[in-house]
Amino acid sequence: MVPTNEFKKGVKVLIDGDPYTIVEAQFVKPGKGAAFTRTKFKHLIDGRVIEQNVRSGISYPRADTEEVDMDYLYSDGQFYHFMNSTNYEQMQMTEEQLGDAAKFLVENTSVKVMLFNGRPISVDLPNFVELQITYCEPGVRGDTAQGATKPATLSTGAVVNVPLFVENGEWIRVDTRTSSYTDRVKR
Amino acid sequence: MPAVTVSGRLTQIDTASLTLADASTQVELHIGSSCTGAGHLAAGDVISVDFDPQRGAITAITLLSAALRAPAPVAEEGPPFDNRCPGGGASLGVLKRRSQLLHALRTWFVGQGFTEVETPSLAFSPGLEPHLDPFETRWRPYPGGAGHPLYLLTSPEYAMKRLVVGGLERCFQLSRVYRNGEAGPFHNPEFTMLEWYRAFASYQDILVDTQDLILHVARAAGHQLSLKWGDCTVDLSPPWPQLTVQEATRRYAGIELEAAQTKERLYQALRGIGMNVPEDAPWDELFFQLLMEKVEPHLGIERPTFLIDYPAPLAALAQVRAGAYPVAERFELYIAGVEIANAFSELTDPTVQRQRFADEQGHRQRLGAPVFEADEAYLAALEQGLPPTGGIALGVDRLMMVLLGAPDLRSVMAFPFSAPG
Repeated sequence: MVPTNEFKKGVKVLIDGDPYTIVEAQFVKPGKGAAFTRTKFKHLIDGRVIEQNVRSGISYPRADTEEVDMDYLYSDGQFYHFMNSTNYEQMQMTEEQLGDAAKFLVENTSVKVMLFNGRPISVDLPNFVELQITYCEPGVRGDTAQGATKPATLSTGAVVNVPLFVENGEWIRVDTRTSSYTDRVKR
Repeated sequence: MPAVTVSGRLTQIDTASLTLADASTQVELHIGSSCTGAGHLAAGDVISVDFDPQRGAITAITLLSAALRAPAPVAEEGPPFDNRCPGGGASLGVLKRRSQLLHALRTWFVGQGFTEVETPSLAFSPGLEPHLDPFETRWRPYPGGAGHPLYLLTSPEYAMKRLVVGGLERCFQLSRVYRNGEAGPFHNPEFTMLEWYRAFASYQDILVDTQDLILHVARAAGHQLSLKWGDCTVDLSPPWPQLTVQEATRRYAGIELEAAQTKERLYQALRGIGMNVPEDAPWDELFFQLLMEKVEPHLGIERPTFLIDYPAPLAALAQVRAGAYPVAERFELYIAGVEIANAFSELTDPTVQRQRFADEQGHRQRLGAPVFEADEAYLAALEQGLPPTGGIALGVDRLMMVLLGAPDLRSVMAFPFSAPG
C-alpha cells in the first residue's frame, strides 16, 4: 500500500483495479481543515488524467508494474512482437495497445515496455527516432521560408510535416512526444 | 604610509595577483615578490592580507578559514546557496527584504498602540483543533527521567487572550509555531505566525486592521496599489471585498449551504455538481473538499478577499451569531488564491468554550488523533471575563511570499524543511 505521504511523481497505484502513475502530488490544507494530497493520476493504459484530493493518511494499493527493456522485432500485420533484452522472452502487443507508438516503431530498436501484472500495456519510445522518408513531393532547393511545410510519409507509415527543402528518400529525426520533424540526418 | 590589512574571501588567485571579496565589495591586489604565505591557497579560502601601499603590493598573507568545500556564490538574487539544506532556501536579497518588511510590520503595530509580547512555545495543554497535530516532546525534571508529555504550540492564542483578560487590551506577537505533518509548497512544519488581539472590538475591526497593516507592509515592499503573484495581478485598493461563505459556495459551485446542513444532503449536493467525494466522509470533510476545489481557486485573484461568516460547525474559537442560519463571526483573508490569515470575534463565554473543548476532544478521538486536556488556565481566564475581543492569526511566511513575488514558502525561508526519504 502507498500512503499519501509517499505520493510522488512516478509512483504507480491502483484505482478501481486500474493502474495509474502519479504525475503531481501536493500537500494542501484549507484553514482549520483536514489535510489532503492534491494528486494528478495518469491512467497507464489510456493516458487519461484525473485529479483527486486524497485525505492525508489514506493508502492506495500499489500497482504491480514493471518497466523492462525490450527490442522491437517485427509486425506480422496483427501483432507487434517484442523480445526481452535480458531473458530473450518474447511478447506481443496489438496496434490498439501501442497507440501512437505504433507509428514510430522501427525494427530492431530498443524500447521500454510497461508490464502490468506481467502483461505489456504500453511502450515508451526514445524521445527521438530516425526514419526514412518513403514518399514526399520533390524538394524546392533554397526554399527555407519559415513555416512552409509539406506532408512526408515515413517508412513506418507515419505521416509528418517536413520543410519544403527535404527530399524523398532522406532520413529525418522525429520527436516522438509531439510526432513532429526536428531535423535531417545523414546516413 | 603604514601597511593596511584587508580580509575577505579569496575569489581568484594567480602568481601575480589575487581578488578578495566580502558582502559589500571586491578588490584586486598585486602579490609582492617577497610576499609570504601565498602557497596552498585556493579560491574560497577566507584570508587576511597585509598590503604595502608604497610598494603597491601584498607583503604577507594569513589563512583565516580554509574552504574545504567549493564555496557558495555570494548572490543577491537567484538560486539558493548550496551550503543550505537540500532543496534550497531564500536568496540573500529576499532575506534582507524580509527583514525590512518585518520591521515595517512592527512599526505599524507600535503606531496603533499595540504592545509586542512573547508567550511560551511549550505547553502541557496544546490546542485541541481536530485537524492540527502538535509536536510532542517531554518535560524531564532531570536527564533520562521519565518526565511528562509536553507540546510545541500550534498557535499562541490561549496565552495571548489571557493577557487581554489581564489588561493588555492591544497586543501582538511574532512567534514560531509548530504543526506536525504539514510540509508542501505553502506549508512548513515550523513557521512564523503573527497574532494580534484587540479588546472591545469584533472581527470586522480586525478586518480593517488587517487591510491597513498589509497595505502598510506592501508599501514598504515597493508595491503601490497592486502586486503580481504567479499569474495574478492583484489590485490592492481598499476597501477589500467581503464574501460570505454562503454566497461563495452559491456563486462558485451553485450550492446552497443552508439546504445542506447534514452530511447526507451535502454529499448529494456535491455529487449533483459532479464532485467525486467519499460517501462515508463527515460533513466538515465534504465542506473542505468543496472549499478547496470550487471556492478557494477564485478567492483574491483580482483583489484581496475576505471570506467571512463560516457555518457554525466551523466556528473553532469564534462567536456564533444567532439567526435563521447561524454563522460564526470568522474570516479568512485570501490574496491570489492563497489563504493568508484567519480571524474571529473571539468566543468569550466560558461555558460554551468548555463545551467546544469537549466536542473537539470527541472529534479528535473519532479521528484517531491524540486527545489532550483542555487548557484550564485559559478557561479560568475566560471565567474572569474576556472583554469582547477580535483576534487573528496571520501566516507571515505566506504574506512574505506574496509580497516578495516568491513562488513558494521555501523561497522566503533561510532553511526550509525537507521531509526525510
